Amino acid sequence: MDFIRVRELHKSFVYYRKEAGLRNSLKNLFARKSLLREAVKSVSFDIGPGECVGFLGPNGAGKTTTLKMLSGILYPTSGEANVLGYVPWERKNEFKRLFSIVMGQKNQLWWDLPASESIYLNKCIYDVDDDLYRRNLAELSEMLDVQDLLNVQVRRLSLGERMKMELIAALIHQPRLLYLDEPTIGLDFPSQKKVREFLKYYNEQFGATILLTSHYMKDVEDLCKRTIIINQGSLLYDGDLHKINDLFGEQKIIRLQFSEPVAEQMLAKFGKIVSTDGYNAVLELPKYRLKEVSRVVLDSFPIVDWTIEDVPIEEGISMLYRKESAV
Amino acid sequence: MNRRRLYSAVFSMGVQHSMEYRFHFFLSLLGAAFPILVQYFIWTAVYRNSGQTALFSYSYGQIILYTILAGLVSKLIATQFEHQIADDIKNGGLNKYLIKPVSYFSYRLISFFGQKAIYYGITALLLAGIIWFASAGDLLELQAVRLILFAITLWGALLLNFLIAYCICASAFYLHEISYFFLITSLLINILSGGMFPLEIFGETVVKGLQYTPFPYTIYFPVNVLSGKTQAAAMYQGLLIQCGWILLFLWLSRLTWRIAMKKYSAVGG
Repeated sequence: MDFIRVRELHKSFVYYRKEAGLRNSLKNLFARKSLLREAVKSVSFDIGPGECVGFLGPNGAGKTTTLKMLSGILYPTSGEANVLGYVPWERKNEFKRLFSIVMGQKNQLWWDLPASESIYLNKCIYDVDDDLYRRNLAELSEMLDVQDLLNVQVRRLSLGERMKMELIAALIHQPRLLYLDEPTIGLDFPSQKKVREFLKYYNEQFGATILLTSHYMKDVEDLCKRTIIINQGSLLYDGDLHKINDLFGEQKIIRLQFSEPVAEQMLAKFGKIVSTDGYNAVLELPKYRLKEVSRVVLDSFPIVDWTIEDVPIEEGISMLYRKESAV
Repeated sequence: MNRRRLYSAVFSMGVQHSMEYRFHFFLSLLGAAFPILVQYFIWTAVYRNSGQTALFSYSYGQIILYTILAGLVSKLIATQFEHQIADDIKNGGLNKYLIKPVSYFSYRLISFFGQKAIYYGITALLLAGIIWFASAGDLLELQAVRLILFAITLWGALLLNFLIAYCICASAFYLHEISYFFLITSLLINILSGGMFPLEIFGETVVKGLQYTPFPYTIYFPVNVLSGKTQAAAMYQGLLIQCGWILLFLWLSRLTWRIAMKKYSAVGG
């Protein structure tokens, strides 16, 4: 049985456009032109239990809107979704007990009170048994290393500390499904790493299903075997993150370092020049030309060092976005 | 389901919240004192120059007593959460309640009572002082039954005022910039409720008309129950009508919110 089943999900918003300036403001006061924006366009996918899926897309692609529909915050314009046997936007209490959503840019804790109060309130909301609550709280706060901060007012915490508290509050009732909307946004590198490790552990230990959006490729690479990419509301890719580059024929990257400057035009015939400054050059070329080009380059230029690499995943994803926009 | 525990936690968070902002509370009490003072001077001048002992059926002492009591009651029942709710609606803070098995309405209501608990205590102390002072000066005839009914109608007034404000808050789903709207509605409601001066001032027709609205039952009615202006029979009748308004607004607030929620677009993020 599928855990999450989404069919032809569609959401459009009405919005208004206002040109800059006072004159246009006045004009808008009387006649506003309403425009329709399709945030999500017939998106379909299935997610099985225990899967950790990365949800990628540029800003405004429709990721958050999809998460909001799958958690019941928004009604879709059309389409179907079934999450854990429930239709999310019916907002049944039994459904709400089964999942949590953490939004990196939205605060769910009570600002003026210590995090422990918010967490306790969640315990009461979700009816968590006293023993289980104590055990979970101790375990989660130890893993995230924030035991000493539980009784500090939330507004006095740093962003990273607050994010960890958000995670504890969201997981205190051990949800089977966790939606994460950019959980590491704005965090420093050690905090990002800590949060990632924690999520990985939580996914493996409790078999929780995770649907994660992020702009940090590392989050998705570390946590998710499977990636769903959307842009402008439409689904572009659903599969292994590392196979994205296969979509564009097999390209390779050669990095070269020279002992004396080499002119750009000398390199042009070997492939696409990604960058060059005389002493260093990066070339992109089809895999089948690799052997031939390597041999010639090594023989004809004053090479100090050289490497052959795959095209970075970010590059592949950007190409995917561009390809879609061009259509 | 153990809802009792949840609501006691919400209540206690409300109490803690009000203590966190205790300075704000004392300032607001001080704020209540100014209009009372202004009115004291106005009424003194009016009565001195009118040459009559009673205006609008109030003696000088009675009108001053009314002004003080009404000032205190309107401070006590003041809601002040409109902006929080409007902000929750405008900036998507409502999301965190929608995804949890808890009702936003109950959460707000219980938290409101929690926030008011300490104010209620302090106001009760102040009122006790004023009542004692007024009965010593023969302005007020102390009757146990009136005191008890006053305490009950005061809770009713809190609840009714909460419900009216909660209904008005639903307009935040439709209007995006709303601070003046709240300012004006709350001022208007305060005047119509008799929070500034006794409703008799507006003339008999207006008083009659207002009796068909919920507003007098938040300030005018409780104060008159205490002061003895309301007749014994009318007291019980008024209490029933207050209950009726509470039920009606309970239903109305659920209805408006259910309709408005369909429009909610969970902005941002």
